[in-house]
Order: sequence, then C-alpha cells, then structure tokens
Amino acid sequence: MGLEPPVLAVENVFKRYQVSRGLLRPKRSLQAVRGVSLSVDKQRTLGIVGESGCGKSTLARMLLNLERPDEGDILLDGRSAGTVGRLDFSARVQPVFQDPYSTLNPRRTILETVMHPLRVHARGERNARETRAARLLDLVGLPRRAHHAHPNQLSGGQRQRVAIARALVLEPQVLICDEPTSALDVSIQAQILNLIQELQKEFGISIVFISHNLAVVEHLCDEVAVMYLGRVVENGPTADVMASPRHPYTKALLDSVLTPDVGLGLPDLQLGLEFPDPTNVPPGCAFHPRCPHREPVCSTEVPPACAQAGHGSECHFADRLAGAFAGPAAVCAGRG
Amino acid sequence: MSVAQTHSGERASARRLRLRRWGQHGGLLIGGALLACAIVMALCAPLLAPADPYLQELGARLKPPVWAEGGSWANPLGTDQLGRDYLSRLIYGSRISLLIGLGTVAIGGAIGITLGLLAGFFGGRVDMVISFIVTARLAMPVMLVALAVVGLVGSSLTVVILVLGLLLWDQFAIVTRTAVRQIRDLDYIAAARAVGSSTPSIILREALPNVTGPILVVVTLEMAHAILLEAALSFLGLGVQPPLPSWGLMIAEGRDYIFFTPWVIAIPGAALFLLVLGINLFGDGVRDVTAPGGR
Repeated sequence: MGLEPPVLAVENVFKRYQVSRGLLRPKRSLQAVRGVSLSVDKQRTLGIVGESGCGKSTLARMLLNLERPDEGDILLDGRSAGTVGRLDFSARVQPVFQDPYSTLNPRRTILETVMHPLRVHARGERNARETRAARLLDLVGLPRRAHHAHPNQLSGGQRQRVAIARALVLEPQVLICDEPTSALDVSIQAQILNLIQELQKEFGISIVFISHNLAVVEHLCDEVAVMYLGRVVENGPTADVMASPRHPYTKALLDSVLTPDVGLGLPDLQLGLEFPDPTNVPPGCAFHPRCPHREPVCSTEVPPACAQAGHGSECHFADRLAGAFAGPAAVCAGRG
Repeated sequence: MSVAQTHSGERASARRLRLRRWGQHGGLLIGGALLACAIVMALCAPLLAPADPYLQELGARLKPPVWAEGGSWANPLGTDQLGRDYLSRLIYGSRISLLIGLGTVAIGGAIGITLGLLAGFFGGRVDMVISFIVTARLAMPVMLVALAVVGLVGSSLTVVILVLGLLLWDQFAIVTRTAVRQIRDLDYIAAARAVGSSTPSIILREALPNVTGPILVVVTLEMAHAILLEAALSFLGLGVQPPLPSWGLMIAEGRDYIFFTPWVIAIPGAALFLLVLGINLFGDGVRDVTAPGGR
C-alpha cells in the first residue's frame, strides 16, 4: 500500500505434512497451505478468516518462524525469515495464542512470565526487567495484586491480558493473534479486542488477526484474506470484501453469520454435505464440490490466483458473481 | 516504597498459605516425620547409638529387648548372635538404606529423566529408539541381573548402588516421557520458542518444571524399591557385606534364630517397613500439595 515495504510478507508459501494412518498403510500427504501470498503493512491489521482446517493456524506457525515453509518464503522487512536469527526474529514478531489456559507456564508467576522474554534476550538488569514487566501488566489492565499469582489463580480474560503483555514486552513490530478471543466469554471478548486495538495505536504495531468470527474481523481489520483448503480465495480491504464478496465461499461465510433475529432460522448455505479434506484436494478449483455456482470448467481448470493488491478473488466467475452477491454492507446488519 | 511493601506482603502471605496447605495433609506429615526420623538417625548415628555397632560381646549373645523377659536397658533392643548392640546396628543401618535409596534414585533418575525428556519432547525417531531401549530394559528381570552382576564383579556398597541405579531407571523414563508428551504441544512451549528460547532451555525451563509432580512420585517409589532390593540382595548374601550393619543383612543373619528369638528379624523388618511406608506417604503428599491443579 504505502511506499515502505510490508513489515511481514508471505510469498507463495507451501506446507505439507505426512499423516500416518497406521503402521503398515502408506502415509498420506496433508496439504495444509498451498501457495499463499499475503503481506502486512506497518501499523495495519490483516485478518485471516476461514473454517477449521483451512490452514490458518499452520500459516500462523510459519509467520512465527516456529515452522519453515516447504516452498516459498516468509519475509520480515524484506529479509527471509530463515536468514534472520531466531532471537532477532522473535524480538520483532510475537504471538497471542487461542487457549488462555495453556498459553502460560503454570509454574511461573505472572511477573516472571512477562519478564522471561527480557531475560532470554538479556535486556536490562533484573530490577529494570521487573519494572518494565510491571509497567506492561499495568498497561494491559492487570491489577498489581495479581503480579505474584500463578496462572491458575486468574480468569481466562486475565490470562489473555498476561499473554498480550508477554508478547508486547519485547516491543515487537508484528503481533500474530491466532483466535485470541474465541475461548473467552462474549463480554470479555470485547474487552480484549479493544485492548488489542488500543495497544496497537500506542505501540504502532502491525497485527495479523486470525479468526473465524467475521464480525470481529470486520471490526478490527483493515484488510482481510479468506482462506479455503490452504489457499487464499479472496482478499482485499475489509469493507470491500464484506460489502461485495467476489467468491462464493466468502459469500457463504458472510451468509452463515447468525443474526439476533430468531425468526429467520438457520441460513441455507447451499454448500452441500461435502467436507473439505486437505489430504485429498479436489482438482481444478478446490471449492467446486461445494459451490452452488459451479460449471464444468471449475472441476478441470485452476482459477487464476488473487491479485496481491486491491480486491481479488480466486474464482472463474468472480466478475459475474460479484454483481449477484452485492448485498448489505455490514455483516452485523443481517444477511441477504 | 509502599508498592514494594505490598509486594513483599503478598509474597509472605503466599508462603504462609503454602505452609498451611503442607500442614493440613496428614499423609505428608506422617511420611515426613518417618523420613525425618530416618534421616536424623543416619546423620547423627554416632551421637544416638548407645554402643559401637561392631563391638562383639560373645558373652552377651541374643539378649532379648528391654520389653521382653530378661531384657535390660543396657541393650534396649537386645543383641544379635555375635553380641552386638542391636539398637546401634539399627541406627547405623539407616545410613546404608538411605544411601542406597538416594544413590540409586540419583543415578536412575538422571538416566531415566533425561531419556524420558528427550523421547517425550522430540517424539518421532528419537522416541522410537528410546522406547526400544526402555522395552529392552523391561525385558530384563532386575533381581536376576543384579545377582549376576554382583556375583561377577563382587559385592560392595558402591557396586550395589551402581547396579541398582543402572537398572531402576525405566519408570523414570516412562513416566517422564508420557508427562512431557502431554505438554509439549501446549501453547506456552510454542510461546517460549517464539520468544527465542533455545531448545535445551525450553526442555529444562518450560517442560521439566511441569512434569516434576509425577517424577517426584516415581522418586519415592523407586527409592523404596531400591531399599527393598538392597535388603533382598543383602539377605541373599550378595549385597552389602558383613560386618556393615544393613537392615537386609540383619534379617539374613537372624534367620537361623527365627523360631527362638523372632525379634532379631522383626526389628529390622519393622524399620524397613516404616521407612518405605514413610517415603511413599511423603511422595504422595508432596505430589498432592505441589500440583498446580490442587492449589
């Protein structure tokens, strides 16, 4: 977008796993991520949405340099993640995970947990580390009396605040949030999301926000990428994608958001009963077995990939469908 | 200043809370008391023992303990078949038992916990190789191998500790491996990696502290196991050699007199039973009190 290169970029990344099916049966290849390209600009928020098993979390692990892609590369400030040292990388990209109950080491106190990254990076003396950790815990709104508590004495929301403090204590450039609120109560979710937004302004960080909650993504993200079976099927500015989806899967996702109006019943998504199987990706467009708009070409030819900039869609009939899909502007306003 | 004060206050109250929790666990207290008795006996043996445990008085053989007919306070627990003061031998014997228990657990624990951490954390091939080694070890009968090795090398306290330590690591490996497998995919391990911690540091600082509960239980079980095995080896004449006062050896030396002076066997047997019971109760208690879930 801007003149500066993106802070974090994903270039045509592939990741496969070998799935064992027992001792004597041959292993199968699970294609978790199949050629994904994305980028996050400075101080912007990129949302990644998709159903379970579409490769979101694998992508997050690669963005955190916890796993290396089989093909393609992750670029941090234009440098390949493989050439940036592990310490150097971790000082600039930090995670907030999904499950508040397993994200903190149960044997450490809260203050020790937040001080630990500083110790690993050998920053400051013990007292300076303690002061800095305490300041961050104040910033995320954790009461002082909780500093010497162990994680099991805190609520889920408080633990997630600690996880955010731990992620920010090194002053990273990018925060990778892997469904940070999906395990929390709805009332707490809003608090944590607002906290993340405030801290983003205060620290000037970029965020990759992985979620299956479209309302949250719409609220938080500048740009959004929709993933299906390991590929980005649609990307673009959040408002554009939400208002005028150009891929039938995005349309189905938007339609699946439940409204408070009980009278409307459950939406009919016309997705059929086929479930996506990453060990057996369909030929042509991966979405075609479930697509209500499929035509013969969809099962034989792979549609052209999304454009990197602007609003792109990986569908043979994106333009035709875009007109048909144009509906209500906001997710929360209801479904078409 | 005031902030620092409240902090230290909170720390102190947390410590008080922990102490109270320890004090409320009955098994822990009884086990701790028994273990403390044994440790005090072992450490202060020269001060506590009324007589020299090696001094033979052939004129005063197999004297009954003080509560039995003909007993006297000169030898509160009587004397053995060579006229040595039984109480003194019992007190010095606690040294052997604890030494065997601690030494075996130190060697076995070092081997087993290391293997278990590696197998559990890395999984895959490493796990396959280590699991094979554990299985191979489990296929060997401890008593037979110990007897064979001691028979070949000759028996001494050091040899017994080494042999038992090199044999009794399987439970450590199995328990550690299982416990580590359960936690290695948790987010705090991934978070530590994302912070840039090295793999050894993650294993030692994130994984190991969270599996100490089950390991502690194995420590106590294996300590008790080793003490009993030493007694068995000594009973068979292949453990600690006379005139060292080992409890197992005392039972062995008394077996000829079981029908005439049963206390010669009953006293070291009871001591052995109480020590093993104490260690097991203590281990269970510590596990209950320190488990984060129990807080």
